[in-house]
Amino acid sequence: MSGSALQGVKVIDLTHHIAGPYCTKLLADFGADVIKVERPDGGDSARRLGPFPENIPHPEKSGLFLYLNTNKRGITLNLKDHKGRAALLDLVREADILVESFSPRVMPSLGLAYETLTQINPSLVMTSISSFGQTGRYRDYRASELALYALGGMAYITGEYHREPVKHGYNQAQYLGGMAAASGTVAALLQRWRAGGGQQVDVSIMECVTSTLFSSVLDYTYAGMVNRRQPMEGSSLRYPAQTKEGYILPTPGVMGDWETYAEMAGVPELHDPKFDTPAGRQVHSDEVDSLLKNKWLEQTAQEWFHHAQEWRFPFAPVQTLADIAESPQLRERGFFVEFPHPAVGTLRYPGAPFRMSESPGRNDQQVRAAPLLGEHNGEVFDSLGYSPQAVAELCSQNQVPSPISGED
Amino acid sequence: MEPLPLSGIRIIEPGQVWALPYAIAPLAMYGAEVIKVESTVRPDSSRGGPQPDNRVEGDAWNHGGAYHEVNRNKLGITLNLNTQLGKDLFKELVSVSDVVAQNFPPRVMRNFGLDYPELTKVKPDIIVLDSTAYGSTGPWQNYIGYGSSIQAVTGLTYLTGYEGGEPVQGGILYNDILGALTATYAILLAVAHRERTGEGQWIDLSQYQSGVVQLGEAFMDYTMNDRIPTRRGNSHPNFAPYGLYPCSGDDAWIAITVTSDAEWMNFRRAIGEQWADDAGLETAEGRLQHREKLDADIGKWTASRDKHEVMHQLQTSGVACGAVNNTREITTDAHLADRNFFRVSNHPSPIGPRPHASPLFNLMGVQRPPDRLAPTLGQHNRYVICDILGYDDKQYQELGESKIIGQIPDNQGVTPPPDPEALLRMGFLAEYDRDYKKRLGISPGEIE
Repeated sequence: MSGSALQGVKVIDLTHHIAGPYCTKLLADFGADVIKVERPDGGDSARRLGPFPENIPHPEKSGLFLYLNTNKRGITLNLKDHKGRAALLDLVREADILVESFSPRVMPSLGLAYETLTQINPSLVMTSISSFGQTGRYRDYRASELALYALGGMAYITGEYHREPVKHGYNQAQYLGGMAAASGTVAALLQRWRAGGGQQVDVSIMECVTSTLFSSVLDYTYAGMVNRRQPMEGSSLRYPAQTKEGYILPTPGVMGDWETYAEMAGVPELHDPKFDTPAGRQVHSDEVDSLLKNKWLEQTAQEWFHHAQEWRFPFAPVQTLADIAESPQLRERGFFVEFPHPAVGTLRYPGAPFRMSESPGRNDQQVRAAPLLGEHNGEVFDSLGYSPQAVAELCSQNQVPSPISGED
Repeated sequence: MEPLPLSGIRIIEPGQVWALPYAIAPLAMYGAEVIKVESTVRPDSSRGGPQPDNRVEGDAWNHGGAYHEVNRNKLGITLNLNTQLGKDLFKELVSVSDVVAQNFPPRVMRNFGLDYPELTKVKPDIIVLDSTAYGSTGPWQNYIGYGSSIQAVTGLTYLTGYEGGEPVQGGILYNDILGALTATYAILLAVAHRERTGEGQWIDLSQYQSGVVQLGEAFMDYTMNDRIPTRRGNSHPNFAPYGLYPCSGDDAWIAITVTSDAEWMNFRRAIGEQWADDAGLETAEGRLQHREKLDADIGKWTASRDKHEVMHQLQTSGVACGAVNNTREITTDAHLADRNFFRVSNHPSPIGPRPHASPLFNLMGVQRPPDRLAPTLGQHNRYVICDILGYDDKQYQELGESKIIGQIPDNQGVTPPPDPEALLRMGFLAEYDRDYKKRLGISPGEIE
């Protein structure tokens, strides 16, 4: 083993909220040296978003911020001030990568356009994550998680037939943007290592949402069919069913045949030619439903899950976060990580989505908790050779959190 | 031509269904030489649909839309891995490759004798990605799951749905895509690691974990407060108004999301309604407190207006909002067109020209070459076996005769296409648009 995948890669992180910080978390968790730059007056807006312990807002106790900023060092800089910008440029000079998630007009307005930054560091990779991308007529539109779910097309096909569309829980679009941006960043880094030269990487969160539609888009572009929220009738096996305890998704999958399914479920009445094909089951869905509905109530969701999997059907329990926290699979794989933080103490966090045999992520070793606001000002500016006086001057601005505002 | 980020990287993709091929697609677009390995016994099941214009004709297994969406820019071969010769050829190919990315359950490649430990014997610095539902270790390692199952198990289903309602399965393929995007990143990291150190490695990717990591703040609520987060529809705990509002027309909606007091003032100015001047609504606390009335009043204002007009009007005034688009509106969206997000590939008849999505990260310094069409089944057998592996014509012919390779699937049937009229009647479709080609600008005669 020779260290984490991105060991030695230096990243300047100007991001805030979710998508950008998730991108730099992915880089940091896999070894990059990430310096997160926050505004002195309150820092990242995620610090003001919950969850908080006992629901009491505190800029160092946001669960969202703590999760998204592991393994980064944190400094504060006022980029609207020329001294702050000069310090940033000193950092950029030494960096491999800069990641930012401002609205596209912001970096140029601060005098920090990609073209400007490459004058001091020609091989810089600059990753820009935004709601609509760096080009196009909606470039400067404002967005939110819900607006992106709407525009990207995922909302329209999600929810109950007769009701308004509903978005996925929490902030999936933002996370998708962060993941796509992490990939783009490493791809650009590879390009630089192999051919030299930096470049800007453009990620649009709306496009990420649209991409998750996949076959729905193709139903239109190949066959003119516009999908919508589906009626419940005739498709009950695709929906969560109530069990003795919790919900189970009783999907037959595409591999298993119906006779085996009926045997697995222990409902011999389903052995009927009229139920044999998906079309047949759709026509007779009321009968299928009534035969299965009471059956599911005989066991718990977890029991059905293991039973069906023994028969090679891809059932899954509808798990809560408590179920996930107790999941024997995740425990045995060492998925969760536990580490201390000065403001909230030792907590358990989700770890990494995959494990690499030769490049351990930081989650497999010593995790660094999310930085306090300006925690690493001294050590970072020292490393740039700033005098103690200059450091004190840079850090002299007060650090009063501004009132809650702004999702992005 | 300038080199692409992944030029010179050869990826072997014995992937099944579309999810793993989706993960590899952007790597192929950015220069990797991807060799897709199928077999005539078991072609990629995504070859089925959607069939162009819902018509099955000729070699229909080469016409499926999902297949073309994720396999452009790749080479395609067939190898029957149930035979020793097929396995040997696979290993030979691995010995001259950089990455193997696959998504069979762990026991399958183990049983083939083609798992990571075996492959390192023929290529010590090989990178192997195993993408599985639950991970390659642990008590559930051999359990199977599709996107919908993974959505349920990761907590997303439980957290999706209306306030007070049942859990909702949203976007049935969502977690497949999520697992795929995660796999793309993992492979890029491993390539970077090898570039830096010369070492290959094994990546054990769990789609279960890939879903849980995107619910970090919900997990933190549980871990901090012992509270089990649940469904809250489209609403936001800190902000109001934040929701979908009905617009004129059938099933038309707009998202309006006000996340600061300044934005509320913008909204108030934009709509010019007297009820909005209430001083009690000037703070987030006040708006959250009066959420129901606020939502009802806004709904009355939007109900008689067109969703796109409302969007442009509110955006011009500095309010975050977005029309709820369907797939017709997305694929013809002016903003995505400005960005050239959907690019037309000219397929031979009967497919014809079709728009396909761009990669989700746009490397602005790279001139991405025009997409090459996805391979027909076994199209590159000869190139790979003779030109790359150095077999002669006679040997190549023998492989065909012994059915190790081939270009015709054993089972030529594809899933019968749906009947759009029936689907429309039953409520499964919002519309069946017979003029879709004209709208997309891909009618015969419109494309060179």
